[in-house]
Amino acid sequence: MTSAQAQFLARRLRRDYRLAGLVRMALLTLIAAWVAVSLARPPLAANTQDLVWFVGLAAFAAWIMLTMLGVRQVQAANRASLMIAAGRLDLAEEHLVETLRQFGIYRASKLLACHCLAVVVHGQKQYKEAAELCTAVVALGPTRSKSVARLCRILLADCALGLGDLDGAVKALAPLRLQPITVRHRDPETLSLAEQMLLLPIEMRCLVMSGSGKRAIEDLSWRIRVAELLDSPKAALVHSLLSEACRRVGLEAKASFLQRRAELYHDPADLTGLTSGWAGEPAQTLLALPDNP
Amino acid sequence: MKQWDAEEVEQRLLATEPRRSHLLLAFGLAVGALLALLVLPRLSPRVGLPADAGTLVGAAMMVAAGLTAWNLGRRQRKCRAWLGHAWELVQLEEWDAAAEILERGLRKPILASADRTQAFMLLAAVAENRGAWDAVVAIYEALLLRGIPDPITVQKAQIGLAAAKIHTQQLTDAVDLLAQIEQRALPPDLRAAVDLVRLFQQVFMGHHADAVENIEQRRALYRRALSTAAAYGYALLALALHHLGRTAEAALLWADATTLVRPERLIASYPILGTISAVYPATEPPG
Repeated sequence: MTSAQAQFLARRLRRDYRLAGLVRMALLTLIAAWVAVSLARPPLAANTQDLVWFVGLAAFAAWIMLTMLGVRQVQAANRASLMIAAGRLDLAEEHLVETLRQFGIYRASKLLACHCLAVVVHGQKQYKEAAELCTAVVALGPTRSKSVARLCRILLADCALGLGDLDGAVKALAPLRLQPITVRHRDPETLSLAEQMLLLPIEMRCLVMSGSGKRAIEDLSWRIRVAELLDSPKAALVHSLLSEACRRVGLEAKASFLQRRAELYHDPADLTGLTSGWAGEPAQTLLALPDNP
Repeated sequence: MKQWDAEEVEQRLLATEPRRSHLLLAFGLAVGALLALLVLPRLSPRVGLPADAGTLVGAAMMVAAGLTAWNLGRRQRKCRAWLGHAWELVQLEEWDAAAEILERGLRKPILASADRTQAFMLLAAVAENRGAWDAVVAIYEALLLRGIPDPITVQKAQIGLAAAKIHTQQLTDAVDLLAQIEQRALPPDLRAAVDLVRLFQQVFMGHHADAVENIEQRRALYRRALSTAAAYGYALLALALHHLGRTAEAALLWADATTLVRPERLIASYPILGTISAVYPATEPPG
């Protein structure tokens, strides 16, 4: 995908998003007018009634067709997720671009499709284009699709790191917070565990890179708990970063313990692929950055 | 957690069977509304109905169809929400809370069959943690007999069943099942999971030399594919080495295992590890 294509799709998403609200309102108004005119006493002239009946029926049919289209858009996004899992990014991209080009009155399905496309483009290491799509979703998402908007924020931060823009990554993650999940009481704003599992490695990179060692080890036991649920390379990366953060604040024993755990998860010299933010630089480079004063 | 047996699992599977009645009702109402709007206005004068009967009936059916569809969506979202919460609790090893949610949730129909399978897989995970191996066997067997649409989940259920059969000492069945699974092409994480069950079977049956024959490959596989669960592999290898008298290596592996997972958790999953926990010191995390 080219940058121009990504910009076009982001513009189209914004336009469709606004238009969807207007179209829904117009269709509802027409259907309501249809019912009202049909029930009017005394009845309106036959010609007028026929016209309103026709327009109302057309509005109802249009609503049903647009609903079916919305369902298809969600299905396309779900199919694309399966294609992503199967490694067929090219096919997934094709499906999702087609979906985003179609108009729909259900905003959530468009946002979901755009998020999936951003995942695909990010997977192809086209960070600028993925960031463009994520920015569009983040700007539109918070009111309707909080979860999709949060996932796009995380992805946007990773893209920003991929482009070497640490400030951009920190800014994208600013509203998100890693927070222990308790069994009974759950704040609706708390990120789900799956979201926290995505957030942790990226947030840790941002915090360690920006020299926020103390913040990086806030809720340390929770961070370790979440890291334990990640796959081996990511678990190793997070443990390495936690170890570095501990070392910077003088917790040497904890730093050594976490480093040993990191080594048990994965070879620390082989974490290159995970640090997209440094365009292939090995993780050691990341860890060697000095603390902020 | 209540004791689950094959009959109870079967009852819950029946209770959670997806029902299409609401979906059909919504569809029928929408079609009915359309027909009422198209046909009744032309038909009403001839059969003596008021002229606006079609509009009224059509509008009422439209509202009913909308409400039914909305209710269906709400139930689906609610189901996804409790399932998501149960998944989180299982991941966080909050077994009591997970069991409570699952026991409550598995009394009503679950619309999507994938969600239903996932709910029972989570229930099996809870039962595994409680050491209720008969229940685990009952759950996996019931799922496999009814057919699981997703092949990866089928393999996960078979691997879980093989492990549960070893725990319940149905060793011949377990060995046969493992041999079947091992012949298939599996993704790396499942390949490692099968190998872990095979290692458990070898250690359980006292085939310690077989267990450590390819020790380096096994370690590398677990490290690469099992993340934190690699600790269980290291601990079982340590037990095999201990029985072979290779105590120095066993001590090192036990230390690695307990660096990743606390000894209590290792022993809860594999009670046979109790033998070495008393012999070798576990790694103590700094305070």
